[in-house]
Amino acid sequence: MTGDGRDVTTNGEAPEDFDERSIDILVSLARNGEIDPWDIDIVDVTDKFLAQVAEFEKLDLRVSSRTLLFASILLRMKADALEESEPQDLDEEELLDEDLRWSFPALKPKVRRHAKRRVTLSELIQELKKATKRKEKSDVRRLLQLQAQEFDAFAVAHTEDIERQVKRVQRELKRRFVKQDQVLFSELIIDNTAEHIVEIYLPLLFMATRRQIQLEQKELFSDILIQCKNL
Amino acid sequence: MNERDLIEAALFVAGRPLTLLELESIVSPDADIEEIVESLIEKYRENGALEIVQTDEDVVMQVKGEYADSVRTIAQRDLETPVLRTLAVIAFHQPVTQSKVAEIRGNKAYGHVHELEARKLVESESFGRTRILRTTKAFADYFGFETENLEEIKQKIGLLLR
Repeated sequence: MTGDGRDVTTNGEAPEDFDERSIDILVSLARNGEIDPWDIDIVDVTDKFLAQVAEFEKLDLRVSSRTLLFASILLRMKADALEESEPQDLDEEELLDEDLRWSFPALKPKVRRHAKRRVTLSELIQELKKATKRKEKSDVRRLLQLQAQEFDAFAVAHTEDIERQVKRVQRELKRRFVKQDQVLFSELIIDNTAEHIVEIYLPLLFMATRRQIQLEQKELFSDILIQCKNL
Repeated sequence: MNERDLIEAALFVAGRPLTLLELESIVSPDADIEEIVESLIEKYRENGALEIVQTDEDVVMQVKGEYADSVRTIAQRDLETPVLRTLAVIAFHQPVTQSKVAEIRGNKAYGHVHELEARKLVESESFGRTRILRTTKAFADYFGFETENLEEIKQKIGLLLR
């Protein structure tokens, strides 16, 4: 920025100086008859401009880009003048539509009937029958599930004598607590079947609930430590 | 463009009754719509499986009665089967709570009720935490019930259900 507030470039020139320089170059090319202002060839103008810049031995891209810009503006003005009409502000989509209009024949899809008919009363009744049948089936299924659950619960209660098992495990623990302060769950397991493990584990839970023993498991799936509390 | 052909095309593509006003809107102002419709009715009367029928205000193109049953299953219904089934349950049990309908038909019934209300075939009113559902006059008209009395509709459905 200069003292009077103008922007300056790296070599100390203000942007307006670039504009003037670019215009000067174009005007001088036109005056010398090297370019025709009414028949602008951007490539030709650029080549000639670059040749002049080379003569100045000060090749500056900023000047050349502005010259290119001015050349393209001149070309646009020429095109507008040839059309003898105001340039229209068409957006990209409109331009594309315009192109397509000339490239392809207009498509006229056939109009087909997409009518839907009314439901009949007979169909309503049929659906009611199906709904009723489905509800009945689902009710029966639910009832059977409920009965099966009840049967399972009663079956467990009748076939297992929890208290007898609790007493059995209590006796074994008492015997062990005489010799040691704590017992590992694995020490009580004789047969490694699921049924036997449950037979030992379930009484332990009952005893822990009754605060007769304390169960402790340091990590998930690790052995359970049994300590005597009030056995 | 032939104006009779134009009316014929409109009736075909609409797939529903069109009012004379609607038909007038697509032909020239000086066209005699009544005369055109009469001519079309005559054209279809003798030949083909279609007919054009005029009521007081409407004109409709439809399949002749003798062909209707044979092609009914091919034509798409304007109510989808699950929605129709929910409507049937409401019609038979009405006035019925929405929760009862959901118990019979499952949770999707809430969506069905919403659609049926939008179609004005069912109406509802708040009842505690749920809603009471019943069919409407539009339902009675749709299925050709001569009455909109809920009990009579239920009785008629009950008889047909046997």
